[in-house]
Amino acid sequence: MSKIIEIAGLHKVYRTGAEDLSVLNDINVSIAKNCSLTITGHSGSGKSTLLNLISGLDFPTAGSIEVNGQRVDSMNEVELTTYRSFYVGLIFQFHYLLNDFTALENVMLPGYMSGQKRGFAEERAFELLKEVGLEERLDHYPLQMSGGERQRVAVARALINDPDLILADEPTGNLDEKNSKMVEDILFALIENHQKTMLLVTHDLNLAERGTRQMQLEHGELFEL
Amino acid sequence: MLKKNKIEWIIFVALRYFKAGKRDRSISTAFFSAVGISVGVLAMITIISIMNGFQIGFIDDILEINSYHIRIRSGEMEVDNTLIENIKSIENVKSILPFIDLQTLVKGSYSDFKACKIRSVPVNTETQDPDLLRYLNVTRGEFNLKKVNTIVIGSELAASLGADVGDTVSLASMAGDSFRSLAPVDIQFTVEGIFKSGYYEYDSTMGFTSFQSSKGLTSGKETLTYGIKLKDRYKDAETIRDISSIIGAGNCPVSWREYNRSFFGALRMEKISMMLIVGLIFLVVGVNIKHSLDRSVYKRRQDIALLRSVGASPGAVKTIFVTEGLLIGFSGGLIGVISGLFISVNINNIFAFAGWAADTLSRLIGRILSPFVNIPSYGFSVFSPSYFYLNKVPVKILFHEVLLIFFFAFTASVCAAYSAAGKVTEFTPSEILHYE
Repeated sequence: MSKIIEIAGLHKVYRTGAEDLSVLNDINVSIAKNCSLTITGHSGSGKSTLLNLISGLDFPTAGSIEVNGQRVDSMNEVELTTYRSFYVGLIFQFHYLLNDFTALENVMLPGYMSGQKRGFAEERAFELLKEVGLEERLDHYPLQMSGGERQRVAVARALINDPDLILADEPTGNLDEKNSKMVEDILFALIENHQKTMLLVTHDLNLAERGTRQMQLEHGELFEL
Repeated sequence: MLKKNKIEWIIFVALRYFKAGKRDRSISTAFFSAVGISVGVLAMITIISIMNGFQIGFIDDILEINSYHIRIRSGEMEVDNTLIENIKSIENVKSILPFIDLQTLVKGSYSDFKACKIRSVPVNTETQDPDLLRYLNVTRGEFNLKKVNTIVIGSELAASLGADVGDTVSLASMAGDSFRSLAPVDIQFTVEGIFKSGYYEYDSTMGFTSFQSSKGLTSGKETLTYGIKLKDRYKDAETIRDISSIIGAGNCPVSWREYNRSFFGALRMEKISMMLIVGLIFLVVGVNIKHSLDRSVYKRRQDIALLRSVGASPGAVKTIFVTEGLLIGFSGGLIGVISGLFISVNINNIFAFAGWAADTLSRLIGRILSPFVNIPSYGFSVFSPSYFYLNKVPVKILFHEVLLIFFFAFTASVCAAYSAAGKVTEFTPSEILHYE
């Protein structure tokens, strides 16, 4: 099976004053296409850092990250902009919806930004919102929606540009049990239906078990479970 | 170069941020910034329009009554009608009037001598220079110098002489062509008309009489001056070239710019200083907008981080905030221009209303407090003709200056926004999205 992510010798050290804080130590991992990999670990174990490095929001201290054959760690700002637009969809623990935009606009905006015609982006956003069960909430603003609904909008937003890779950072960490379950179900169903690769980090072991491959991050090192 | 689609989404986001607050009924920072800009533009347009009104009023009075646009000093005492016709044939020449200025003393029946400049003009001045009469504004009697020893004087001079239309005044001058032959001459003149130009200096020290009537006051050596008025006074240099080709190089025509250089220079300096001082408003407004947008950038750091994480370049996010500044500058500037023009055009009504409101309020307070204290009621007036030598506030709106003010405001806003937008790159998206 072809690989979508190839990480080799990855190190991340945060320099805070006199002390160096090593968060990731020699991470080596290959992730196959259409796989849903879940990574568990304690708070502060470096799960989010790993996702930030793969998404190009942060840069490694050493090592390489290849996504779809492209070196993310050596991309310039323009390349990173294209990469984040077309190759990855990000879902965060907090929804980070834009409060001044409706649900439909929040979902459509990354598509519009990446060069889609506004009408096309809106149609696609509508389809995705329908898939997450929010077709009745298109014109609602984030502040008019529940936490679960907001996170479902964020899930739809991650898929608007049809990226190959979805990176989810504790996507249900802020939700109650009922909403967590609903978002999980929707997320895994979408990944399967759209044949995406997902890398999900969580400290929820039940959620982690739903991944087709499971790993654990501890003391900056990654172990297969 | 931004692609069309990129511009579209940036405008879409910037417009939404600009209108933010409308939806949740709060007042956005953009609103306050736009109000700041519009108040600045309003103030500047109103101040400059009123200043223009006063200055252009002075300038017009000076040029139309006294200095003319171009002056030619003739070496002759007699009027050269051929010269007049030749100069009149120049396209930009509107009118030409020969005159002699005489320094005299004037005395009314019950007054002391007053110094007075008498301008001796042809009897048909009203046809040769109709604009002179329009600006002189004869309020009593008429500008008729056909009868011998008749005079038209300014209203302030008439008041100080205690003279009215039909009264007699004495004009004294020293006639003679050398110190030895100088002899006082005293001639009685009948006041035919009184003018009120609105320019105090002329109203208090100037009079007009005919060539025929002034003969007794002159030495016979005074030379004529031809006062020329132009259709476009700013084309004075070209017209002087045309006139020189007719009259020859010997006589030097003098332009209004040259003749009134110090006074008009002072007016210009006054206006530039005023514009610079009032223009400081835009510095204040610019700093205000920068702080507002700084706050807006900080408040929206999550949005910025999110936009960056879903594929917006730092430049694109910066452009959103610059576009917001552009919208603030344009909308604030436009509202300021409209309201500034409205206030400028209606300034006299506004002053009248303010006077009426203050008067009504003081009377009301006086009535309420009348059982306890007696407050006398004075007619309150913001712009009273009794204090100023004008009946109403003169206003002159110059289109290019309005455009310049709008441009200043707009530029201040865009520069402030550009400066604030620089902060966008200070945020690290991963840190904001992780920790907030």
